[in-house]
Amino acid sequence: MLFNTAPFAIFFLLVLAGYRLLSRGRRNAWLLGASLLFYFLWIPAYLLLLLADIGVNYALMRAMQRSARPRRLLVASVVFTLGLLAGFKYAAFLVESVSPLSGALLGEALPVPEVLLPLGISFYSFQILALQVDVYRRESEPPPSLARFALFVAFFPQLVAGPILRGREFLPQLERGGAMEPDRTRRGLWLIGAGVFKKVVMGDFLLAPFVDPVFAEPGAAPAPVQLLAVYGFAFQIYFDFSGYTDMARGMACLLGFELPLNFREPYLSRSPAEFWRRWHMTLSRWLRDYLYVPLGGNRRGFARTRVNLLLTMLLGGLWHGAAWNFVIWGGLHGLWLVLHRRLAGPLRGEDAPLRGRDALRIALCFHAVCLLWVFFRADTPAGAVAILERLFTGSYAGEWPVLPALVIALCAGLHGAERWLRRRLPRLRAALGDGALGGAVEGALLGVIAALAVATSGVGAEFIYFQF
Amino acid sequence: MWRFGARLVAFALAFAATGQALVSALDGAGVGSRRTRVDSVVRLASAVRLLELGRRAERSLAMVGDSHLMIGGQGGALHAGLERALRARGEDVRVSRVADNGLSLLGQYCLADALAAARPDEVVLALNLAHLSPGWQTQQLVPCLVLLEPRRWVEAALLPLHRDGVSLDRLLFYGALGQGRGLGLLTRLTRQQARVVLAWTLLVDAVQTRSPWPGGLGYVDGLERRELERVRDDRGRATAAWAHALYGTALEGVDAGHASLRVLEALLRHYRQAGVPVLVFVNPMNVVHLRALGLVPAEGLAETLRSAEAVVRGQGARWLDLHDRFGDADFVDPMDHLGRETQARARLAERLAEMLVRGRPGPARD
Repeated sequence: MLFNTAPFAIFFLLVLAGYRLLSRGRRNAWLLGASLLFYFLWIPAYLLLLLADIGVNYALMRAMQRSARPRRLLVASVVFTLGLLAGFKYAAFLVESVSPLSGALLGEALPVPEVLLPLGISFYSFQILALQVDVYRRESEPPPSLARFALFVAFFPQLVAGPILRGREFLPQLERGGAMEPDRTRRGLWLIGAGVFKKVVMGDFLLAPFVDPVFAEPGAAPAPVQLLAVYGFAFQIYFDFSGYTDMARGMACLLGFELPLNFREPYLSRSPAEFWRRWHMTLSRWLRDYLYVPLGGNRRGFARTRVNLLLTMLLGGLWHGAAWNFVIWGGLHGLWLVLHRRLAGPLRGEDAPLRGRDALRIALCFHAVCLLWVFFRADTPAGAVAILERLFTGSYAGEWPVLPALVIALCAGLHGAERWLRRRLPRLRAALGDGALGGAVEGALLGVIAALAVATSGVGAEFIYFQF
Repeated sequence: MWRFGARLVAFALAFAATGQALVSALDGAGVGSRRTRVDSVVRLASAVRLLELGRRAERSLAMVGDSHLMIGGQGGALHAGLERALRARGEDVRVSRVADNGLSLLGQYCLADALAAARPDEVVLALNLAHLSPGWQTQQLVPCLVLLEPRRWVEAALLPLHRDGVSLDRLLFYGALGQGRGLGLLTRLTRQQARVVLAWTLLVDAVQTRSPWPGGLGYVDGLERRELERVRDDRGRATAAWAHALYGTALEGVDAGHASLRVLEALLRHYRQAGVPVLVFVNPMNVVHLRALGLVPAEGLAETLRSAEAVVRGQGARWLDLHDRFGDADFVDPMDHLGRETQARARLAERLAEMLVRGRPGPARD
């Protein structure tokens, strides 16, 4: 179920009503049932896969606690979890990649397995692995029961597309039970409203119909159209993904939980390192804590640090999709990070307030990110090259699409406004007041957003991060 | 409590006012309603009902398929040609068309029960091999689930329909709409949504002239863009990329376990259980042109046809393979629609009439 669909709205309202009516002691069981039902309603058979992943990992986690040689059990968990991920996500890619070789050696190409990617497997696999490693390192307590672990993994607002949770930030919340405070509920409604607006109105309605046809014919459009489509995709994927995350965080708030922030105005970054601290933040910290640091991080000398960075970003690229263009995208981000470290050295104060002199760095960083998005969005590396070729060799003298340009300008304005709003939101809320009038104004604004979302949702694009 | 009530009332008022303002603005701008897929579903359901109610001839035949049955208007379309051909053979028959553009096997599967309940004497099903290709597996046909009988929900959930956008939640949602009075509301809502999309497209067109690149503004109809962009051939035939996108898997060869063939098998089973005889014929393809493009490997297409035939015959339906019975000049577009000039549709109707009059299972090929 996509969050922005009528079936999901009905599902969530029923779950929320039941959750709020139940006593505190029964709420987690209700949530677990709802989460498993949510997964079951997509492809019933894949629920078994999720349950197997949960069951085996929980058994290994408990055994790890009692074992004198926990490392072996951790390795078993990693092999099992990544094995499932590899089998369902990367088997076809692997076969396709070696097929030319097998064709040359054996005289016939290998049959490519046709596997439908289980919903959210990339996200929940990483979440399971993070908890296993934390328990192994004694940084986190294992969940007290299988049901609690299952709810930690399958909690439906974040099951499909994150944020990728850590045990220590979510398990204690599950232990306490959802805390439904008026302020959190209010924030949750606003997050859902913002998320729906970003995903449905901005991503699906205004941007996708312009961006998708241009990328469907790499290099066919004139350079100005191609350029605007590249900018358009940068905002489309941002509004799509961050909107979805906002909806997830908002629903969690309505259930009384807090999920971590996943985006913080990434296109206002001044360097690649800052970009990765602002874009898909829970994945970035996962890659840092469970891949980059265990590889040695920056503790093993200049050369090894660069290799670690490259390797981390290559695997990060592969996590996004089983295709060479994702590997190239990750590799290029890794190279950019390496070059940036080489040329600029470690930067300080990156999270400090923006100043006028940052404008050039932000513009350069944004354009570099956009160029790399081409590899991410194009269907093949050859398609990406065709688009880049048109961007750099095409003529910009022709006609510029007016309305798409205005839409992209609007996106840029909204992106900047998010930063402004984030800092001033508490004060704005206070200004609205807690009285009936303030409540009515908030309700009316949400009503307008809901009406716009319903009116424009006829285009109905899929959620981009579903494929990961 | 007061604050919650105020919020709820304000939400409802703002929601209704914004919706009404949008509708008024669209009316004021003269933006009319657009036919949506939900309208198509309603129209298909009506066609089935008409079949039931309007039965006057001795025999009643229903032709089920996609755009290949739509072109030519009422008089020139294939079903009309077939009726003429059958009447010329002395049959008192009425041939009704239950078809729509892009009506894939999912849509035909959803229609099967209602159509069988209308008790036609025979169903003639046009099998477009393009429907076996992933390129045809879109989510557009999902609203057809409203036509599915509740007793088929479990079967539908177990069929490989995920690539067509069918998940259990959608099955239950559209199924419930079909059972209740929700379809009317959904029809009105999707029409308004389509108006909003249309208004936006008109706005794009209004602020600038079209770019020399047909898809330059992006906001153009997908099919129009494809026809203009992908098909550069002087006779409007398919380019290799287009043809591959159209037929892909079918040309490469599929076995009887292929997802679309399993759906075909299920829908034929419905007719068999209802005692309605079925004739499945394979839509003509421009094989001459496909071969010229190097897109018909020796075994691939033959394997697909063998698999499809096994599925069809396995469900007691008759099989008529007409995929290679027409020449390059008979086709008018890259979708392999038959043209009027060469009387191709009339010849196809004749072949079908011959098979139907024969009235018994025929050989593997006609």
